[in-house]
Amino acid sequence: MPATCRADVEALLRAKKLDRTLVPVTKGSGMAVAIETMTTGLIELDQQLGGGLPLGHFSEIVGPRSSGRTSLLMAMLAATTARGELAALVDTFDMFDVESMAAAGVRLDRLLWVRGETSTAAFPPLTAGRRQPGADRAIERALKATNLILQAGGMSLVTLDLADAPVHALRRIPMTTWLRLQKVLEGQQAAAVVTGAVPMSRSAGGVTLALARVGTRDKGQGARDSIESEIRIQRARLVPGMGVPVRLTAMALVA
Amino acid sequence: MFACLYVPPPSVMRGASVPAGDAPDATHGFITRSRGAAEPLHAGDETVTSVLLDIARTVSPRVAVHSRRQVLMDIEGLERLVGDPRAIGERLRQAAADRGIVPVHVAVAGTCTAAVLLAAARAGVTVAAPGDEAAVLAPLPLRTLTVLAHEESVASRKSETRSQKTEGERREARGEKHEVRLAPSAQPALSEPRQRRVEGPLAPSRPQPPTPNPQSPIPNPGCLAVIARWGLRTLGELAALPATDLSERLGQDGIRWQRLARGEDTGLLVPAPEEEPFEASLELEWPIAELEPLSFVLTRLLDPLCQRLERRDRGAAVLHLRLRLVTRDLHLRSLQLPAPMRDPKVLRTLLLLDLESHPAPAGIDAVALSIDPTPGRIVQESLLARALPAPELISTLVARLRALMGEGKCGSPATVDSYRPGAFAMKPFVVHQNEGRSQKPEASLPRRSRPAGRLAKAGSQEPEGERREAGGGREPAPSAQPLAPSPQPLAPSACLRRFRLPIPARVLLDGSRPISVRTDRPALAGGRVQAAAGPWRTSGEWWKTPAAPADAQPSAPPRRAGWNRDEWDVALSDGGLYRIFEDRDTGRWFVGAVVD
Repeated sequence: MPATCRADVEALLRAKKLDRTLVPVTKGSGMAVAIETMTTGLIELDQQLGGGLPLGHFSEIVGPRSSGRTSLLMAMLAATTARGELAALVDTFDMFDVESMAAAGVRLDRLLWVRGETSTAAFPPLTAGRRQPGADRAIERALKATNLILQAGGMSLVTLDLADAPVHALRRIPMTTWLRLQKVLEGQQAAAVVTGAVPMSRSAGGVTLALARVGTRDKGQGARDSIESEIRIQRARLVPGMGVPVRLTAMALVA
Repeated sequence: MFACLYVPPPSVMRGASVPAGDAPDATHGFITRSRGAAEPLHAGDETVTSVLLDIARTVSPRVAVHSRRQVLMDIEGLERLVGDPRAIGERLRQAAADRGIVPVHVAVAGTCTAAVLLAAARAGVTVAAPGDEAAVLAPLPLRTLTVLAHEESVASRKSETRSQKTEGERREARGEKHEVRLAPSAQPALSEPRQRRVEGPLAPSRPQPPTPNPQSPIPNPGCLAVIARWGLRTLGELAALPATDLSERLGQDGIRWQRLARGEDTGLLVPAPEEEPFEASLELEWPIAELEPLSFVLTRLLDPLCQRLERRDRGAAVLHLRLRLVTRDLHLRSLQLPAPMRDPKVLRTLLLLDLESHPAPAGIDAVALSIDPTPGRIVQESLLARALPAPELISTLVARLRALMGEGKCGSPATVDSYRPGAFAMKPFVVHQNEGRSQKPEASLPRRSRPAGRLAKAGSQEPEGERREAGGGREPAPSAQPLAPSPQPLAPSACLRRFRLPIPARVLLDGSRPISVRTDRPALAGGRVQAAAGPWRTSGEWWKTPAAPADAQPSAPPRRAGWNRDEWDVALSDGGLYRIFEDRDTGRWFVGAVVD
């Protein structure tokens, strides 16, 4: 009887084109797995996520500065481009370092890099006041660029970097913007990832990965060799590793 | 029946008897004006070929290029239209004379081979009746066959030159040099056919000898030297040899040379398609000032052009848009496409997006569009790998992003051969459909095989033997270690987030060690230094002098092109890891990057 009711509800949701909100069915229930995933490039994290990032959904990487957000993002881009697939990186404040990308294993010829305004927009001097029109303009352009890339399709991984965007500027982004982007992404064989300081855009089927730096490993002789972070799956649907921390050690600080 | 038009090269002309009124020019030899003035029309063989093609097409639509100075045509069925074979030959000779090409050899025969050999050997108009080819060819010298031996190399050179020309144009557009040199034109030797000498990135550095191709209609030219050593002097003597004995000594190549000496064809005539310009223009009754009405005009021009491209199996390599403005000025735009395209919607969108970024300064009076065609794209899809997006889609996307973000703001990143911190380059984002998907990236190699730590410089020019670590130690060069693909994914690498414009900082020092870092940016307040590593001294490009701005004062201090800094990695009390540096020339401190 409960199974019949569940099927009826799901049929109604599908009729209303709301089936994306359905809870994915896991292997243990005896039914086919309804969710497709893409590897993050970290085996432990993939295991905790049940395969990786869900396709067709927005996921998030959040955390404070120097918590390893960029390193995790680069690992995802490296895993995607190593398979020969295409990836896009919307760099809102033009802060990514190409040598770091290459050292992380990203195939640069498979990456579409969209550079936004310079970092001065995100870090204005004191004289500019609290209101930061440059940051708002840069974020708006980055969102438009993300929308264009998602609408064009063909990319396996679309990443939007808002890691250095001011929190109050992020909170001014209307929720309808994220819903519209999510609607464009639905049904595509692609994943989208947003990095930021706070959770803002996770869609129903996406995951939120919260990072926190737990220390730095000193190689000695004054050379800082790696940073150590902890990844927690903060929010996700039916992810087996919910709440279990995953240790991220980002090696070899490159110059 | 076939006819052949042949213009002898100047070296042959000087040795030949030429009528007094047709004396060749001292430099270019064979081309004179029809009015008798010894004025050369051109010097290039490509132009000779095109003129010969034009002349041949006045008689027959089925025309093939045999060599750069020889064209072949099918004249079957033209008797009722033009006349008998001799009348056709005379008409061709007269047409050549009208175009200023004097003298010209014309031969009409029942086979292509006979027509080519007769045209190469005899001046004026020569006609061989069908079936008499062997008899007419018999007194010709044996070296006449070298014309045929030369045919294949010319055909292959034409195709290679076309591909190199296309690639060369692309390289020119990218600002790269491309040099293709051909050996001077000369009569080919009997034992050694003329070889092409090509120097450039697309060709081997030294000429390669031709290799016999068993599938080629032209046999191995080396056999001709052997036949000449036997004492044979004419085609008739070669044709009279017993086929069995010839085959025993020279193999099938000997038999094929004998068939050619008898005037028998070994292949079919393949007509050359007539090249047509892909151009269209439209004069507007009223000037257009906005893009939306212009899109309808572009659609009207592009639709028939793309239909013609599709019929010819061609794609657009370059789009040239010429807008005549009401001010009588011209607004020119050229779009270099990453792949051959012929979808009118895509081409129109690309043009409109380009005009959005580079609008015309005044109203548009006339629109002209021309397309540089290139062979159509052939894509082999795979059932085992995910399909990549079409180049049309990528081009449109990049054009839209460029219009949104600005010129030079989107593309593929690329490392550069420099030690300058944060140096990089942008390349066009191009999808290579046939690129091997299983190709391992550089970073998928074991981590020990790549430069580690602060020496992970792309394209560094250090000696191969050893590399110096920041701390002064040495480690073996990466190339000395075995490179083996790793099945395991890489460990994540700590990445930098660079400030393209470094943020000025106030740094308190304890001796030479920073103990506090502050900035005037609220989002980057800084704090007390909890841990520090460094300094690493780096400098470079001090020998370069930047171009002075136009409004620079003569008394202004010279600007610096290089860098000279001491870098520190610091962990601050605000929780961030930063890379700060001191400019050693000015003594000022900056925050250069964040480790994340």
